[in-house]
Amino acid sequence: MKQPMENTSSMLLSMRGINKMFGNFHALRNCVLDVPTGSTVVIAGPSGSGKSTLLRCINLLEFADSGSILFEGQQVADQRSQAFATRRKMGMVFQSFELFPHLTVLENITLGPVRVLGVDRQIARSEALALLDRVKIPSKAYDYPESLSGGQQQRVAIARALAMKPRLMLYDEPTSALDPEMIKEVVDVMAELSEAGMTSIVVTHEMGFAKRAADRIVFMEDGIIIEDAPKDVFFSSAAHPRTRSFLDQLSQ
Amino acid sequence: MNISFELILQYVVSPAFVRGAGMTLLLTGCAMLGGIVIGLSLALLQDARVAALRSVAISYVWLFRGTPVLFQIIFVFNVLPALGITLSGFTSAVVALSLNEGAYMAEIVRSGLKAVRPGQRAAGLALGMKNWQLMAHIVVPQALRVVLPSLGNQAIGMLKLSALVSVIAVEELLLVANQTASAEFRYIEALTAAGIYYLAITTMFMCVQTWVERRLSTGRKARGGKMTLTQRLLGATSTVGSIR
Repeated sequence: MKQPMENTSSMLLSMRGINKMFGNFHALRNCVLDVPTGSTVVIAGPSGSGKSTLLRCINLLEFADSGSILFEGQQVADQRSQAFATRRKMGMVFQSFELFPHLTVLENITLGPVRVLGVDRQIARSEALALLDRVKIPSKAYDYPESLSGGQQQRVAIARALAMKPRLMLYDEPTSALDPEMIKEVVDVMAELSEAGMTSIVVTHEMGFAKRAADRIVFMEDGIIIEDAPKDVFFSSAAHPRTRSFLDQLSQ
Repeated sequence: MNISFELILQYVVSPAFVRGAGMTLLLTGCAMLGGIVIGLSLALLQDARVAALRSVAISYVWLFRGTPVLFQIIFVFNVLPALGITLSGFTSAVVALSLNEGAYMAEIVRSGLKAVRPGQRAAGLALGMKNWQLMAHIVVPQALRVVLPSLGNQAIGMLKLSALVSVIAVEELLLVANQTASAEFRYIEALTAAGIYYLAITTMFMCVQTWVERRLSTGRKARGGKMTLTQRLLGATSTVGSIR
């Protein structure tokens, strides 16, 4: 595994020795991950390998049993009572969208800024409309999530996360629940954000996105990070045999 | 036998009947409110991590669903004073009806809370919400949509249950009607006047329920639970009547 070379001050996120147990199941084993500001890291691996758990440990939806998580230079892993304050600085996008069905698209996006950050309603509204423009669905502001396609719902979910002005975006299999023809519209939005410098961690099987937007690719199996390499190295000369067999399966 | 429609009308507009109907409404409102508070607490207790708390909730439901409401009303009014707690008729009535309603409301509230997917909580937490914000903005509004039809049915059931408290001399609609009838020997007219009030109030409840459900349905596709007012009047009452 590659050793972290950059000094930790340019790191937005730095995880060391992360372990997580679910009962007797060892979900994460001594995970180490560094995410420099402005970079995009893709996490791949078979299902049950701990990718999502790792992501949920980052924004403290799950609490690691041991290890340290430095976010913006601050230790957050053991600050349970301050978890909500940490989560505000990270946006999360879920596999199943999780838009709030009782709120319109616009209300979904403004809920966080207005209720959590205390942003003025009018300002939040105009920012939300600008974000809908950015994710390319300006005409759906007053619709309810139910009437949107999966791809549109996921783009609203991205806008909802962006409305909190996050320093870090976390995507948990954002395209896995989408029909193939809708994957591209979501991937396009994510890639544009990454290209614009949004620090992102993306759990995905979508290697098209990885090739296009990732700086680094992490491969996990059985709760262990078995490969952590720059994109080109990962695709051309991955070190671990398990990673190579994964890549072979993809190319078939 | 001759029925005087004029007398029925006189009864309907008489101060005693208006007050009686007001008392019935007040009892229903207070008992529903108490029932919801108790039901919410029980629902949370039922999913508590501590086993002792869960068994408290289970015993409560067992106790109050396993005995007649009429028994509970008389018990609160007549037995509690012996234990040093003396309550007025009205308070006794509200306490007994609330305690009883809570046992039924617990299951309803619980089904509502369960209907909110866990992912919704995660999404709210990911926005940095605190637990109470999560409840206020995400869980309760969604749960409310699920429980509203049952809540309406319970309110109508409660309206009818409230007639039972005439046994502890609370001057609600049925007691007023019965007193008037026996004082003037005009049973048909007095009871008809009370019946008109009951039907008017249940109809009003159903209209309010329909209106609120329409407002909350947010222009989405009609779900299986949508009923017309007529269906509601016929269907809802028959099931509520058989609950207790």
